[in-house]
Amino acid sequence: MMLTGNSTAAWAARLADVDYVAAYPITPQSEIVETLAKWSSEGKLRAKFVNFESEHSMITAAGAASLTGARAFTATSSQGLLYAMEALYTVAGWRAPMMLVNVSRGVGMPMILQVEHGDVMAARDSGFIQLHAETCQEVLDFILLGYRVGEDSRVLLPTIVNMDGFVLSFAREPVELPDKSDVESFLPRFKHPKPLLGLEDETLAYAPTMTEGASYTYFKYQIHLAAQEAKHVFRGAVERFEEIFGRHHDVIEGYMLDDAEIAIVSSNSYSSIIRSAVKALRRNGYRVGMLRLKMIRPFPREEVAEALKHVGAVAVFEQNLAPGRGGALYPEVVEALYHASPRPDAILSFIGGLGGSPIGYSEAEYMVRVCEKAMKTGIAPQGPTILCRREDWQRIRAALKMAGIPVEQLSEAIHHV
Amino acid sequence: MKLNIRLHGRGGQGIKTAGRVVGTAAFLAGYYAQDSPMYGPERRGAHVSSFVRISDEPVDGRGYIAAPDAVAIADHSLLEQASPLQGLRSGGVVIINAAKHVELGIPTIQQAVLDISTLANKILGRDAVSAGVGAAVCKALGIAGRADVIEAVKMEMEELGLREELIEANIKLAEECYAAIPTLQLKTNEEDMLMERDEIVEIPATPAPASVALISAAGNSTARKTGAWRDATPVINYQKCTRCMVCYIYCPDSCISLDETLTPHIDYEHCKGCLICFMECPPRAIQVEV
Repeated sequence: MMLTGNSTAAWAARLADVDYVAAYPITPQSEIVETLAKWSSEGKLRAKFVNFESEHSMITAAGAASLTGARAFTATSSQGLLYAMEALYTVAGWRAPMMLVNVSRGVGMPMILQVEHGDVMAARDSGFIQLHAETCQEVLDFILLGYRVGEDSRVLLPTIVNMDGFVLSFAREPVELPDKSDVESFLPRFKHPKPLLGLEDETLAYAPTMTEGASYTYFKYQIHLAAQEAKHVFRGAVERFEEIFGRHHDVIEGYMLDDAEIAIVSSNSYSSIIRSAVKALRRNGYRVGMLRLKMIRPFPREEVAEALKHVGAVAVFEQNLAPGRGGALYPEVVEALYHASPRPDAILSFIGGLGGSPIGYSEAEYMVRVCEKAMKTGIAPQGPTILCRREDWQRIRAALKMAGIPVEQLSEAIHHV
Repeated sequence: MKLNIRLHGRGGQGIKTAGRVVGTAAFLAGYYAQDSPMYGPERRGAHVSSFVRISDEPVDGRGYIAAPDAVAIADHSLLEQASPLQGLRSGGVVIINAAKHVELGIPTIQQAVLDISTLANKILGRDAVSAGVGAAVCKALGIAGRADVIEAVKMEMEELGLREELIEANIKLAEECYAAIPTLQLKTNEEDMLMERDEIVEIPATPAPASVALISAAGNSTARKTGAWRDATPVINYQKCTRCMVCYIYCPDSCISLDETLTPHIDYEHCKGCLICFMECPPRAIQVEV
């Protein structure tokens, strides 16, 4: 069946037989909750569908629903995710295994509707498990896997499944929708170990606990340990997933890494572009491969180290930019490799595809050539290296000129190789 | 087969749906397919594009198609306004909705022309060309047989929630377009793609205010030629015009100006064709040209 990323997310919620949908619209996510609203009104979705006045209350309500033992689903994007940021930490601390689909979009200002991962990266320390999808099929698979892992009593944490706005959310491609009965056997009804809705003759009270240092440390650290455990639970879940649905998943994906001299680290939908560029680079004589991060939280550091320790250089390609730092994932990859033996001679940071900027063969080849130069000279450029096409830079100069900026006084664009 | 197609049209013509018709038809014909639309925060009449990738193997590209094998143009006036042929590869095909052959001045590309708008106006009563463009693209590029194309049109029109008779009319439009357009032989070379290079540069630091996303110069919104959005043009008949100034007052975009004799003049570079002037003109001195 041909489905967009957004309609696939809606289908995953329907197939997971969610009990509760908390909704608030935002481009490019709205199609998800619109589809669920339609099914709800037609009786095709059994769930209680509730519209909220903001993302903050939406996430809180979904978390609360989850604590009653309901399977809760919600979706947002960009500014909406940031508006809900406090609530993300709250529901993770509640240990509420709800599902949040984030459709990545840059965070203004400057205003943008297209993809950038600054939104989902801002949520990386909230306690949510994060699975990042490359394809529409993965959107479906990761939602099912996310529920299974999050609802496991060893984990009991909420999950974000991330997909790229426009490039994946609005793109249709073939998706295999599983049988409802198969989904039921993979994802049995959620039973919260201590639900807010207790037994009929039992009175329950639930309140946020005011802690002090030691007890705060204890509870906070339990969230960390549960998040780490999620990786092992995920490993078990993907085995069962493959038995039932026939598709293989792991926390990372290696592509042509076996004899690679240079590896490009990537995530999300642009990995499709990087993969085809790697194939073309191979034909042009470059020994290059790709490592794709499917799980971002917990960060699969051992798997990353094992996959990359033999390559000469690593290019970490990211679609986010933390001002004053660079790419958010770069230090995580460096840390994963620091104690590896052997380890790459150079690990470089590249930023591109911001705001949905297209990338292609040229960007991939540029990253590889900058890596080659760093290996040869032993000098790495002060990162991050931003990837911009000359014609785009010329367009920007023309626009600046139109806005009354004396462009002749601007310095020229530079390049490393 | 590995085929990247870019479709161009205006908001309201059905370019997103045309892309979906091609994607679904290719999928039904047994190919891997991917289709995605692209549009900004604009409106009816604005430039909309859609991308379709078709392959024997799983599709490996995403997002904008910079170097398409084929381009479809649903409104040939976009040729002057939106550079729809940009990046079209040598040996590629352009499919144009036009009454006759359009001189493009590029000898290395082939052209298939069909007056889809006239057929759509005849069958549907308006310039909704999605089924026609989708069918024409499928036939011109040999993507799918007639049955798959008709099934794809049916599926996509049902998805839009159209009434039964409108679905039937769209199928009729698709059938006529499919029958009328020839199949061309693509001569693009897959290996060409490895030769396509964009130079990568790093953006230098610029001092404020050049580095701030706030427009600090006044009066430059006229540089945005919103006249490109227009699909219906108001034309003043000066024999009937009484110089009453009502059109001048009502134009929401200040596109009507008065000269010293109070005669109104329409600025077609910016008129979006909302036709409020046409509706309000007391002596009915404004006509509409489509």
